[in-house]
Amino acid sequence: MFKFFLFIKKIHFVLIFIVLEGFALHYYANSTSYTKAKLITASNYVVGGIYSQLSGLNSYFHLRKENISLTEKVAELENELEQYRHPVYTPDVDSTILNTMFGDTSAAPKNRPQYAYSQARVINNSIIRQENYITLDKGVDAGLQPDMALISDGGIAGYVIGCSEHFSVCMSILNRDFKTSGKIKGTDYFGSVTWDGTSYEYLKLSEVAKYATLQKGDTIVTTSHSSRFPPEIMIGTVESFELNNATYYDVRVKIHTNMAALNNVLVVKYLDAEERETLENSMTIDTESNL
Amino acid sequence: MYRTLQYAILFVVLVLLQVFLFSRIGISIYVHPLVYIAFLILLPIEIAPVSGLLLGLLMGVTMDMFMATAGVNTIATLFAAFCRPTLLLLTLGKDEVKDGGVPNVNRLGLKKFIKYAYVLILLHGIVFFLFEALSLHLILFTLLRIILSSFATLLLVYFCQRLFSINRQRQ
Repeated sequence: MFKFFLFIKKIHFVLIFIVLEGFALHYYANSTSYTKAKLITASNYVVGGIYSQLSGLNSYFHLRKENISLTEKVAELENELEQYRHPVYTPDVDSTILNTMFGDTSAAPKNRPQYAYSQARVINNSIIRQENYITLDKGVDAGLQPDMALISDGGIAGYVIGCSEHFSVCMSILNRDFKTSGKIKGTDYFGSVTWDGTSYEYLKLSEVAKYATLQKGDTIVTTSHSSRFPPEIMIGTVESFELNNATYYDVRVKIHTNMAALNNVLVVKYLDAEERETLENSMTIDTESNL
Repeated sequence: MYRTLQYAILFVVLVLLQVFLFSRIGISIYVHPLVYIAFLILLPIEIAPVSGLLLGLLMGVTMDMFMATAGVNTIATLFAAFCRPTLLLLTLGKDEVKDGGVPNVNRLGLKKFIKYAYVLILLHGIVFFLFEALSLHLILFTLLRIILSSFATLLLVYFCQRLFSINRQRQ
């Protein structure tokens, strides 16, 4: 027994190292982006205020640029609004036909809004890691919740994965766990969008059918397959592409959003997300039980 | 324990620098200086290996909390702390290790300090970036990150040890 204790004393340094390292490895191996989001949420209680101050200071340096992009946005919206102010005359015939076919449709709301937009400020953002996250200055108290999309400058930036009272943690598009679908604008050829971790200026669009016609500079936008991002939101432009296995294209996409200088972002809530997910999930359960 | 207060201040300063400056500025995806390793480098030579390991654990867990890396920092820092006693023995020899002291340039000389600090930074960086990448798919990219980041870290650690030594001389 005494010898055993001597032995333990001799190797206690190695033993402690192995045990501690084992715990760390175990924790890392079992971590997901959601546990990481929880970690950030926890540390935000301590340093969130400081991040807020720092980014407040930082935002002064970007005021000029922000102003320009805001005016551009205003002009664009103004143009869109103009079309509604002078609606094109549409004959009433259509609605009478519809009424006879489906009953009275006038009772149903015609243009039910699908997305709700709000604004938030980025108070922490990294771009040099393999798993980058964005912290916003608003949380549950401002109505934010997981799975809401982040849009900056008309391009995608990430989505919310966790909220505390006053802060939200978001998955950046520069995160190797990030995944969404994208398509070539104007066509229906789509693929999955991921980040390979090598550059903060490029994303990867893979598994695009070989029948698609691609050109450098083509626009890649989001699809309606996603229950997070609204469709037709800019992802980026085609930088280069190659045919893989003679079956599908892998496309290198230059990100539209300037991820290195995120400041103000739009937070988009998909109002029908819950209904859609419930329906889609119930369908998969049904087909599984039928098998 | 003597110099406890100084090491506590060093710990806090390094954590703040890492969290609010070096992990935030984003110079390039290739350069991510992990300056907090300076704490481990500057621990007294004669400190018990187990204490070094536990202090490394404390630093690693703190960094994991703030950087939300869920264990990478802890894994890398523990590994570096595990290698440190052997590394000191190899660079300094048995007699010098027994004399103890703070392993800075004044104590070791520039050449030996750089050798000791760089090997430790490299060991820490290799584990950190490999575990962050978690694949050998982009191994060249990861290697480049390790090399460039470790040079940046070495430069910063050199400044840290100078500031830390000035602080000691004044006392």
